[in-house]
Amino acid sequence: MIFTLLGTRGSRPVFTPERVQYGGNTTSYKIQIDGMSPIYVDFGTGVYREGLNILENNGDKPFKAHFLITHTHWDHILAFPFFTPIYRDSTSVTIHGPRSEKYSIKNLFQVMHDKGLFPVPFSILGQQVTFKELRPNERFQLEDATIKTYQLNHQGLTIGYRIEHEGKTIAIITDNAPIQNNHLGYEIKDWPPEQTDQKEKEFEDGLVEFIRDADLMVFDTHFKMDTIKGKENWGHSTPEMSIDFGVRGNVKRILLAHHAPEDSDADIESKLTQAKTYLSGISDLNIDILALSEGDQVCL
Amino acid sequence: MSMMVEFWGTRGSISAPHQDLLDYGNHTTCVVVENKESNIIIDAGFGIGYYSQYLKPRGNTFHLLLTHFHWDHIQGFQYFFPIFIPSNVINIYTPFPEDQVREILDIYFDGSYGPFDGLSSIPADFRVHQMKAPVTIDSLNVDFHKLNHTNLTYGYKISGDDGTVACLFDHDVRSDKKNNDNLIKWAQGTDLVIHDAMFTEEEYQERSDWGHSTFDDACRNGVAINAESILLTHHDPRRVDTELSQIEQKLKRTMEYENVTIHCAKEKRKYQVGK
Repeated sequence: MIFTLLGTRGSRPVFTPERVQYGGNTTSYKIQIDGMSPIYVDFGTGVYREGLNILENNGDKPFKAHFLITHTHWDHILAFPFFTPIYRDSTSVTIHGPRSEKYSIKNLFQVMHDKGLFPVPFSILGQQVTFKELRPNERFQLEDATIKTYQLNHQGLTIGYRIEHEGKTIAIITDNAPIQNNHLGYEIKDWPPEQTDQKEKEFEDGLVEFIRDADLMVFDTHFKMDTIKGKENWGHSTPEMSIDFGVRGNVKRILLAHHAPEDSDADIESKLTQAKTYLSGISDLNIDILALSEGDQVCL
Repeated sequence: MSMMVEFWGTRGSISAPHQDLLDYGNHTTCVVVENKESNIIIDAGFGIGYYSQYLKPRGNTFHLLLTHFHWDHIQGFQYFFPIFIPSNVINIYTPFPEDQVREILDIYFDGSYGPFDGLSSIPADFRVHQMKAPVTIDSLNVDFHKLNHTNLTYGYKISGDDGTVACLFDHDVRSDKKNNDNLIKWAQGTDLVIHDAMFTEEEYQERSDWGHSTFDDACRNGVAINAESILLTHHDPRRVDTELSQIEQKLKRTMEYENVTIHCAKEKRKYQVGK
């Protein structure tokens, strides 16, 4: 199982001389498993160059892939109309993801093409792109891989993914905010006040079991402990919060992900240093904490 | 302070950050025109988010012109920080009907796509002014003209005491010759022309229906307008710095353009308009 970081930013693509090392594309990951089609997580701008490379390297070979969408906030889907392989008849791409409160997953993608927002109409896409709606707490197969879903605490319906293959596991937890007195997700925001403590505990315990023993956990670490203050309801976490879950769930590696566009390379370095210090202060576990550059891989 | 144009987004189509694009820039379209009294933003690609990081607001009123609704020209709206301050007024000027502007922004700010609940949930006061004739914004006069693009798109001419700038993106010189001739007449005598130059001739032959111009078409339009200088923009997301620099040098050496100053626009770079 090989994990490739294609896009490391949250919110919006950004690129300046202070951001060259860690990169500026929005969320997108690739997971390759021997003998099966690639799995991509999210359609952030990181996937744009991947699309160009596929057309250049695949020749006439049909392109087949699975996409898992965490949620449909713009930074996670905006490269879809610009992912050029979808315009080839021989392509076969299935997009799995949650609906929003108003629209189906297919409608949510269709809007990107229509209403004069993009010059090519959605209707030009034939059978090469299909959509499958996912809900939390599902379990299904993508070829040889087992996929599990869990609802995260973020505005709308946001899904964390657990991808398992032959004893190796990757957990993708983005976007996710601290749950204490901060109920953001679909239905989570409607928890009755008298059940809050119990519901919050169930959410956290459930997430710990969901990431349990993962070889790699990718976690939303948009904020630092000082920058999250007053912005808990923006829907994101910190490196320390990722470590709290990682320790409880006994994960082997944590990738700090979904960096704020305001973060320079130096900011990300300091997040990494502080995260390592925090881990050594609370646990003897030897968790490998990573900040990767775009294009970097983790081989499991 | 004379009249200046500053680029915060020079890319067309998509912001796809890559080290080889660092010099000319990665962000989708956003241009700011300003003089001592006025400040006008053109389009809200991701460049508007980049601009927000450096924004020193002069008062609580902002002026924005929208050329059209393709993603690369509106996708940065939610990263324009002044929209989150209730006392701010965001004036949008465009020839498009107010209903259409509000409908598009309502989709863009829908709860399905971000932590919002439609345009009405955005704290600042959005005022859409449908342009049916030229308008005056502070000390600047703004006029519009239809461009040649896949969807209805407008170019703008902004004039002040120090000079005049025409913003012509997204525009394909060749797809409607009559309209381009009218555009040249309308923009006649402009000091600075900002022009769509997404393609090389070879690329245009493959993508002649995409609604964008070649480098040479853009320069010829600038010369026909009798501009002093031409800024080429809406760079293709695949075009690396070394290639843009080579193209720029070649255009500068072309006899046909010897009386005009040509630059491929760079981000976070100011260019003077007129005197």
